Amino acid sequence: MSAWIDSPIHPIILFFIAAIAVTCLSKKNDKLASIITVIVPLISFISLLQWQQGSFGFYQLLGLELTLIKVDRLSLLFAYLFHLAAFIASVYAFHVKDRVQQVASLLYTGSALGAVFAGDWITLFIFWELLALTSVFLILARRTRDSYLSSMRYLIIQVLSGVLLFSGALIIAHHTGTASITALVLNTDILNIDSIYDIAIWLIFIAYGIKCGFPFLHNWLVDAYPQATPTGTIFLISLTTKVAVYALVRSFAGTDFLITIGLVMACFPIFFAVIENDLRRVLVYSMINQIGFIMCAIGVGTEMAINGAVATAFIHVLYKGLLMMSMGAVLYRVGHVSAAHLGGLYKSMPKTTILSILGLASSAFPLFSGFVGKAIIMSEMIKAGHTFGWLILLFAAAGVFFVSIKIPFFAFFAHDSGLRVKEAPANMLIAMSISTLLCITIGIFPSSLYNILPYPINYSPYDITHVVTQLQLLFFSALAFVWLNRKNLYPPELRSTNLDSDWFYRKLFPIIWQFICSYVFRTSQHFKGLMTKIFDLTLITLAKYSKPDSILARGWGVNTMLMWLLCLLIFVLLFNYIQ
Amino acid sequence: MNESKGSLNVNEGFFDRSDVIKWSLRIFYSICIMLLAVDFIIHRHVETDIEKIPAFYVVYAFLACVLFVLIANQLRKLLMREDHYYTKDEDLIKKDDE
Repeated sequence: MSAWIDSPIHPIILFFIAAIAVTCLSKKNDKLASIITVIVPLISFISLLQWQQGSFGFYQLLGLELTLIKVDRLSLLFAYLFHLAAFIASVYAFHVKDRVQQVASLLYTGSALGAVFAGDWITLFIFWELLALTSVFLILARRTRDSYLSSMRYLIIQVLSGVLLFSGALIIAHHTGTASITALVLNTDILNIDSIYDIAIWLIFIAYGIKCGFPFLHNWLVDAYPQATPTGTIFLISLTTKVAVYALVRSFAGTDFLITIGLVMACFPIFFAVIENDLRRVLVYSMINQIGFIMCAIGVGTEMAINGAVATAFIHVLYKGLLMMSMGAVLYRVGHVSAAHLGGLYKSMPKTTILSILGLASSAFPLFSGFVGKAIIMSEMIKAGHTFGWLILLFAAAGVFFVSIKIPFFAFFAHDSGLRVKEAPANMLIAMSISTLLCITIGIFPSSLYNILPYPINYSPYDITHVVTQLQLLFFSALAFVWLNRKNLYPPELRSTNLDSDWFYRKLFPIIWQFICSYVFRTSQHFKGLMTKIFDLTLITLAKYSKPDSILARGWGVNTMLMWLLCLLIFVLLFNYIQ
Repeated sequence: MNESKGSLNVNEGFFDRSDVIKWSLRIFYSICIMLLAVDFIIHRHVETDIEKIPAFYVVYAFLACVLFVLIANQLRKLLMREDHYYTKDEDLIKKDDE
């Protein structure tokens, strides 16, 4: 009981109370609802600054000792990040009068905070599922048929991730006697897995992998996020995947297999991004690429690599959020983000254009935030002896900048689509400006971020070699973009659907299911026909032998009866003798 | 269906002017040449042998991006379907119902 009294107020309480308050507000109080959504992250953040490291809020469930709040530098950093992201996203969504979105965003942020402070698997599972249940409303709130269908697929996959996590957690708790979140060792020798404990670890790993967007498990991201509302996507890209990154750092730091996964994640989305027409989907693909970098760093697992992973996750929320906000503004004003039908918007949305370009610069250029995060990962890959992996990441770094150029280029420049719209609303511009300012501040003063990283760090990204090579990488990627466009070799922007791993469950599995169903139906029909024939034949035969004077209609004599009875008795006798 | 909210009006903007495009590209190419030249002037601290190749980052970045596009072009032939590929069956059923 005393543990409860000593424990700090969990931010989730504040966010959930605010959500209830916003729900109860009448339609006339739209402004107040928006103010609450902006103020709550600020109040909660100030409260968070007073927190001390330690574990609080112990409770018992399923016979296990559970910990609601576990505070250390890692969980605090992610909590700061989520507060910052929620604040910026709420400013961005200030004009929104939709209660569903306002309430969902508060509950969603609260759930993400609950997950990062969870001290055990069961508490993590509860918030893991709450993340799914609350965030789905940000997709549903778009209120289109496509968004509804996407949200249902999203929900099924997210809940499945939770079920896997829960199954793994229960087995581990049963095996070890505790549900506390600890480092786990993944047995990658799949053919030699002989204990249920190893399977449980795999279940948890896959659960995290689904939320992180591992290859072949990533498709819910590109399916659902571009279907969310312009403002809802900002919350989505900031929270769910980053909670999974946090969870992987906690339990799977140093797992070599993550490097392989990370390298695949860093490369394959770029091919899809090149041919993708929906600019928000392009951003989601590039988000998977960035998570690939983070996975590599977690896989390396040294203190410095973990710092790099966490720093990149932090920075990524800011600059990817900025780019996504610029596309959200275009979606809000134009009604779509189809690159094939955009262009020339710099004339009517000049401020958004500048902020979008700054968002692109923030992803990699020196003096911007992206530069100071990824540098650590690249350096640690070499130090850990993964030279080939480093080359692949360099390849992916050039590629992701290359495809990111298409965001501002096709939306704001390229050919003039003739679209004339209003500039983005003031609150959207303010939110984008805050993000830009933070990206530049972290870029110029990297120590502002480095000082709050989980492990002590003595690193400066600004040396002449690093700056020059990075500029070479970026400018020659841009040169390739210019050259390919001028030579008409760049794939034209076309409205289309590009098949991805969701084809398996959206097309192939239904076809297989249909085939199985029709086969079962045909077989059952065939069997039914056969049985009917046998039945008919039996009846005819019986009828034939039941006619007067037929074998079955004849009266039997006493001698015959006695003979059969004798046969039966002999059979019983023999049967008993054999036994 | 492209549901645009804005009005349509084509007039020449600053970045539509051919002289602006020409000068922007000239500045951009100049920066690229400068960065290439710098590679031969400064002494880069290298951590791997492959970085010792002159202009390694320049060539690697350019070729990587070209390779991405060449592969993506082939990938498009394999993966591209019509816009409402996944919902076309439902759309047909809906149309029949109507």
